[in-house]
Amino acid sequence: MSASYTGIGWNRQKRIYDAVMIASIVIFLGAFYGLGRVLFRPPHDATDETLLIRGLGSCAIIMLHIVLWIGPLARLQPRLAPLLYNRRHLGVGTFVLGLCHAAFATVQFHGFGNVNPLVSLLTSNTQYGSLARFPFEVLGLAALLILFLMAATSHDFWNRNLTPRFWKSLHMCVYGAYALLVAHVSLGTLQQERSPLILATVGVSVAVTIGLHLAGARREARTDRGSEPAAGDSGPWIDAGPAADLPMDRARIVCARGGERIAVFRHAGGVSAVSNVCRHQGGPLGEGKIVDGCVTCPWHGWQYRPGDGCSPPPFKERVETYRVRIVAGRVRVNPTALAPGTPVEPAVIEEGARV
Amino acid sequence: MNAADEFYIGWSGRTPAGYARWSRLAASVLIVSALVGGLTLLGAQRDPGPGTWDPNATVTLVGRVRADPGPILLIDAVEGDGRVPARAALLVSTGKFGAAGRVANMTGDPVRVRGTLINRGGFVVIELVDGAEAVTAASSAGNPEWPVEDLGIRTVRGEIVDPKCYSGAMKPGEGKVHRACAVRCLSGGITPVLVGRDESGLVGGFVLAGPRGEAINQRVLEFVADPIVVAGRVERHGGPDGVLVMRIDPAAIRRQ
Repeated sequence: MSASYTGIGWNRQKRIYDAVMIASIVIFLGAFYGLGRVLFRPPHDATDETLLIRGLGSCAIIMLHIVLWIGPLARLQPRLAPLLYNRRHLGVGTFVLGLCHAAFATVQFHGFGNVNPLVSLLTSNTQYGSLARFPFEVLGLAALLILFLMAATSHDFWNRNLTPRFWKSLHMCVYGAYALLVAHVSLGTLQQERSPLILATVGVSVAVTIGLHLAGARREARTDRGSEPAAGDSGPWIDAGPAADLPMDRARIVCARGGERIAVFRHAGGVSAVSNVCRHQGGPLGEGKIVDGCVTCPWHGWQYRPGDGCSPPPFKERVETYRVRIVAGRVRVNPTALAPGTPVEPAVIEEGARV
Repeated sequence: MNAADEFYIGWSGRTPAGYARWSRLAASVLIVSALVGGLTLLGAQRDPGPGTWDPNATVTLVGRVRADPGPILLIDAVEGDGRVPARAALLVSTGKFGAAGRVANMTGDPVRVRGTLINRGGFVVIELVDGAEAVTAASSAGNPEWPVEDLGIRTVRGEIVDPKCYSGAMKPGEGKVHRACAVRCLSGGITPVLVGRDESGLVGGFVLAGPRGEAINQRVLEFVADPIVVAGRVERHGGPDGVLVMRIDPAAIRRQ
């Protein structure tokens, strides 16, 4: 967290993260280019431009897969949270590689001709009515524009000023960019190369992407089914399970039918409930932990006091809070959200409850 | 702190042991995958073809030119140490431009041509150097004849390419991924070539022209890089090592 904006708030984690990312890119491109020089000997050699265009494009789409896989992987295995912490750098790296791929390809295939290269890009092939002849380049261009919007707004400055909700919606467009890029590859390279290995690579990658997201969604669906209304309560209170089973400094996520997810935390002062959605990037607060007396998001470490949903000074973020009480050893939550930052007295667990 | 209590906060500068183990595993998998992925995806690429081009090796040739059915040079001699693996060559300009206009007034004349050789299996394209020195009048040429052998009506199956990229300027310079570039080249005046084979097994690059030798670049653009079949009169210009020319009606082109 930071109370002011800097270009990048560098720390050791980010440096290691970026070093691994850059090393992997260099190794991939080096292997691709190096083997290209060894395998394709004159006169059957590929030009440097061809190797660069293909290597950069392949690397970019592989990185986009990793960006998409990190979310559900960190959900399924919380120990992978460090991959998620600096994911934005992976996203920006993906855009930069895609931009290099597009720039080289545009100069190579559309430059040095009788029309502007960008005009050529849009007009050289207009056979949109045929899958076999579809202008796949336009799909890549559309994906690149989406990735540009995401890379350009990746900084927290834009998260704050565009509002987290709009920012999140904008960045969910990554799935649109992904679909466009899969189509770009399928209607381009796959139609030309026809290698079973490339076809299998694309197929397996798409299957893994879908599978991981389904697994993550299935896990969340259990929560979203909704908790039962609390027995014997006349109001809208829902049951959040035995208070004694709530681990100290951790949460249970509950949800009224059709309602928002609520993170019910046990902390030193008792039991409190706040929105499960972090104000920063929508991270699942209920999968976080109470650290230094604050609910701490597992994605980027943003913090909120459990009693009023406010970030500790000098930060000003606030999340919704919920009324909580304990009846006969069971936690009950009123699913009607209170305004962000509304103080709510924690429910006290009777002495002797197991921790 | 036991494993269950571990919690990672990126900005804290500390990585709990369990998280560190998984991070090291993930980084190792990523780096090994980058190596294996790079090698595998490159290994799956198709052979880019046997084209060659050294854009820095300029040669000077003496021969005669015609502007139609395409800017063709019949080579009589090579000045200096150069060697040309064919008797005839198509002429193109730098970039994605043709050269018909640069030899339009010299049909049949002896000329001296300066350019670089692009060669794919004996199908030769010469990229003329820029400027007036590319094609100049020569005092004499060894052979005043322009031999043309009529091979009759043939049906050829293949792909329309731009001969400059296909022959080695861009490798690979064919197929769907290259379609837009080929369209740009043909739009810029580079003579279209049909790479394929006829029913008798005649294989090669057939320089495409209209029935009267006129340029048909604009009319074949929509078929570039598609598998097609077309019938037309085939001629061989320049003798056994010459170039095949196919006169077609573009309306008769069919996709396979």
